Amino acid sequence: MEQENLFEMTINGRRVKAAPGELLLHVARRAGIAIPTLCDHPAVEPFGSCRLCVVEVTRESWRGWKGIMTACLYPAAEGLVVETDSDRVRHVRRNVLDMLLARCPDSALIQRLAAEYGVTRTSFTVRDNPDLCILCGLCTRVCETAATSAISTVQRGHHREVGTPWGGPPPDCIGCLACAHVCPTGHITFQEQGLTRSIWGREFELQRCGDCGKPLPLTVDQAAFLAQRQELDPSYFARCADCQRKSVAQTMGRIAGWQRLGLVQEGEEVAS
Amino acid sequence: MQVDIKPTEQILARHPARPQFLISVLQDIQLAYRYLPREALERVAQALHVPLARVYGVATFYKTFSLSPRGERELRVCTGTACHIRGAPLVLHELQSRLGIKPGQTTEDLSFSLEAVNCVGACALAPVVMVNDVAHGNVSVTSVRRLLKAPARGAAEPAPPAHDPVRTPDPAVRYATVEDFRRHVAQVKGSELATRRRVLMCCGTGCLAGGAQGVAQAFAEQLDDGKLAELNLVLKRTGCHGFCEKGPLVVLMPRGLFYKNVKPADVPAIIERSIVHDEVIEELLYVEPSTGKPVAGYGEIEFYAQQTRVAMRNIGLMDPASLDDYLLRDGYAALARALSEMTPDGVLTTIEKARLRGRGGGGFDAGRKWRSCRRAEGEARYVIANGDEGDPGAFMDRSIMEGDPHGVLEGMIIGAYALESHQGYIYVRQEYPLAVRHLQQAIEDARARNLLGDDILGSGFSFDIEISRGGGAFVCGESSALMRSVEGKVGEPRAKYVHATDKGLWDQPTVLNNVETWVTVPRIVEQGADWFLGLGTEGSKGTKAFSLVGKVKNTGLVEVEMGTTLRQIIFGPGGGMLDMGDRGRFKAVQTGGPSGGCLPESMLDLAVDFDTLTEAGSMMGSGGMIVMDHSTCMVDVARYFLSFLVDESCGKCVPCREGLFQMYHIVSRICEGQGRPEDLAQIEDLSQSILVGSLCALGKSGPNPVLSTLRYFRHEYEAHINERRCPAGVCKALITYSVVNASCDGCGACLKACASSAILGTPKKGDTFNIDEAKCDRCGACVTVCKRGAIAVA
Amino acid sequence: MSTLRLVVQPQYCIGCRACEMACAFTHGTNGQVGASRCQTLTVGKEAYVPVLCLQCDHAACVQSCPVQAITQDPVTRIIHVDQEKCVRCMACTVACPFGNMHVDPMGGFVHKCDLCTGHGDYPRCAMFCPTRCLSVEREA
Repeated sequence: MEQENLFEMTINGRRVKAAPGELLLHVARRAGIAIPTLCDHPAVEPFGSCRLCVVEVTRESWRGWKGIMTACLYPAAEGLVVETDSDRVRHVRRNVLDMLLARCPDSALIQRLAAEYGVTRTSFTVRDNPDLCILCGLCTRVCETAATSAISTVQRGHHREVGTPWGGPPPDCIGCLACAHVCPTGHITFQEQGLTRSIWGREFELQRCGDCGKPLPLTVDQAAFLAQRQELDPSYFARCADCQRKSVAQTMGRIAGWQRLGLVQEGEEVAS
Repeated sequence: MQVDIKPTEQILARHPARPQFLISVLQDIQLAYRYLPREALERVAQALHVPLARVYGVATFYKTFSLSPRGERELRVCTGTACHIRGAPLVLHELQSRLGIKPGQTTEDLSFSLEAVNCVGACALAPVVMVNDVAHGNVSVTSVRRLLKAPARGAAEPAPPAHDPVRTPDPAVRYATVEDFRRHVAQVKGSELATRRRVLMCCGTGCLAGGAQGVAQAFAEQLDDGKLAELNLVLKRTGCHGFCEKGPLVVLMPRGLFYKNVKPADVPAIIERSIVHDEVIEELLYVEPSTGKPVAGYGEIEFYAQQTRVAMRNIGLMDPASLDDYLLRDGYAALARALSEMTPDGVLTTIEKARLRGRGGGGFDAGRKWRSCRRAEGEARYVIANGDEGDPGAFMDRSIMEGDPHGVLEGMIIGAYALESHQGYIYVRQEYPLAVRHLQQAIEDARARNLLGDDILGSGFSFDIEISRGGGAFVCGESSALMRSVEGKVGEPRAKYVHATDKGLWDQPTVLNNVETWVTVPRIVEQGADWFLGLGTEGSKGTKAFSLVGKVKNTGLVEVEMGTTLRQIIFGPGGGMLDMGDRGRFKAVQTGGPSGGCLPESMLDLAVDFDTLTEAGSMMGSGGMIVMDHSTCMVDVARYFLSFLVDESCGKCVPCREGLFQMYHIVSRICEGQGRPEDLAQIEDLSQSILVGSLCALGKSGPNPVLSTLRYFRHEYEAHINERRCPAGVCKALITYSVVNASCDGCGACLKACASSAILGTPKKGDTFNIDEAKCDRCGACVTVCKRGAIAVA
Repeated sequence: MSTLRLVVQPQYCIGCRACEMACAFTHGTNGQVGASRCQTLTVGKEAYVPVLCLQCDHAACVQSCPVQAITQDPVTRIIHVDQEKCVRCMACTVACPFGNMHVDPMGGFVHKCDLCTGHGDYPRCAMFCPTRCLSVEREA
């Protein structure tokens, strides 16, 4: 954090320093204060959809009026006074978790979080045929940032869901699994067996190591996408880590001059 | 089945290959194919460089689009508030039974599609059903049969005449300088266009629904150019006068002779007697409810006389398609003044001084907003007019856009000058095709005369406007969602911590104001801030246009000074309550649309003003004002608004998406007689979280209808919950229909009308008639047809 | 503060793997031994090479990350993986031409040699290397 332009603000009664434009969530974390989140992830832009990270904010010029804002999107400012755990904040969080529990009663994550706010059973009507999707949007956002926007949210309102074009296997998916890894509830699943990886109803072939033939943890589509998107030659995505290490060890060995000393012959085996 | 991709290619060729045109492209494809074929969308994704998943997401977000073919006749039953309380649910039910399909479905032979849609803005003619592009008003359960025979494709408005016989001499006029402009205005004001008598024929959406097309055609057929010259007359199709219930309207100027409910058959008499011989036709005159006497003069009718028209000053008095007509009404004089005599900062200061508050619902000070935008840094500045008017029951903006499109343009150009913006957008909701047409025409005409485009009036200032069409989503009336929609994305709002004046459209400084706000700007620039400060109250300056609908005698558009009381509006221009008798008594007035609340009789003397309405638990909103009588159940009204919001929620944030849905469940249970004692406490608790926790105003104000009805009509909720009784006799599960045999004459009309065969008895055989409670749908058809009032609802 | 550089001279490596053990213990959590970021490979019959991150100046790992979770500190030149930002796509584990991006078998997260940043800020492997195959140089 740059040292210039820092200003002071207050969180939970403590004076902390913050930089212009820094988001409250980060200021709080630096101060060691935990604020619960569901739809936030450092890899993507903040979204503000789960409303769990709400905090109470005020400043002197507001003459006692306190606003409820999501910490993930609200910028720090000089003289800001923030409460991360007030009654109003807890009330909103309790209701949000209660509603999510009605939506996803079987989610261990939601059950745990809801229990922290005193909700062990939802006071609302449980969804028909509930799944584990809390509509945090992390999967679609990470797909947009890190991959190909192969999935998106479909429909709106309480019919909204994360889906694929016409509900079928998404044509643009590259099988990178970023969506599955950021999903907080484990709603998105995938299978990997031998040389195949399947997700979203699509089957992908895993890239194989050019040296040893073992499958790499990337699909063929993913490797091609990365090479193009990250502007790296495709050869960077063609060999497994083991073979890379063996290759460099071989080279280093040679550079060290053992060959001259007769300790290593041309083409000798490298073992780890 | 192979899809012909040629229309898609043609549509794509008409648009630049950029993501922002996605929604516009999809709308054209929907129109061309009657749905969005997969092949077409795949091609669109490719051509516009938008990921297929995003195209699909947009296609499923907006209600206008359909992924499966729609019928040749798309029946859209308006379920706006006014239509709801005037019987739309029964009409919908009747159509469902007759067609055998549910809303959202299409008949097997693809002849009909049925949709329940949100307010189409023809509220004065509630209940309204659109058959494709044409609105049909005053539809009842019994007139549905006729509706199904309506033609598939009707022109939404009469075709314009081949040429206007009184056009100014040089159609290729173009103003190189302000002097050019002023000289031409003087010319127009001395021309025949200005001096001839006028026949003003209202052709707003409302009157068109009532048959104005036929009337306009009759006049055009019977008065050719020769006759018009002889009679020193000019025929003018105008925008909505605002008195829609009495349409089709014809007004003869300059006398101001006002004729209501005109039919094509009346036209010869009007020509012969009123135009040639200056006689009054009594039968066509409006009868003032307060005196019982007919009134001949436009200016004497209470409905109009009690209004102060500022935003609506031009509507109904000019042809929206004629720029010259606008000039006759001092159009663009304010712009000329601003460009030649004022600096951008000077214009801004004038608006600041006038304390103009936004008319879209938020009531935010427009001058302050403009000032913030001017101060913000960015590569470009944008100016947007919000014409999304989604509040059910509101149609002021529709009338303004249809009837005074140049007024909106002039306001935007002046604003853009003040803000140093060079690109503007008018966002018009999908359901207003006439408004789009008129605005587009106005833009083209303004461009042709150098009032829009490069170097406007030789001032060096350049600004152009584009129309962006909505896709059928109420949430797109929210400013950040609207901007996303203009960008070609789904209409999901953004947190307002970063203001649109800093980062709005494409993250550039943007000013968004409602259409009504923009149309007021030229008036302020022309007449000065002090003039505007002289109108209204301390906190709310100026006037406000309201769409007064529901159970009043005179439904229509009413513009009054801020500070006028609700009572004065409803019983003044409104003419008082519609129905006589006990059930027709005033019960509540709903203002502010789904974000507002219901105010009871005790609050009728509240002065209409942004702040007083908010304090009372409602809000000004965009201006919808729905009057309810004792035949309305307030719990049902709360449920109605919740169901609207649940339907329109974008679904992004938890409190709105899940919370309003759960609230809807609870209130529905109450309406169905399954309320629990703890329900009211849960509603109040949940409301608080939704109020503070939601991301945007749709969610935040969502609980308002429920909270205001709880505040003023708690006894009704308690009756539903504790006594399983609906005092207003509306909630189906809590009422029964029965035949009052003493009044029954055995005509059997009810039997014929009943779609569920729930009425037993033989007509004219002296049988007593009975209603089988188990089969009875409570659709109300029997009540409507019974001439003896022999059906009781309890 | 001067910048540290880890110098690797494989001709002095005797394959004792003290570096691996030091690394594993340094990066352990909750009393458990972690995984070593250094791997000593045997070349031929008697030659050994410790393979570990070279903190490349134009690192392939940095460039390969689609969410920019891998960054290079402009002062220390050390390359770090932001564990929270990482979406486990595994691009870096394949892209590194020297195979120095490792996946934790338990947690599934990606880690690499960070010259013991936050664990004493002095490479433990160099501290325990008996032959000074791994040593530390300070840049002025």
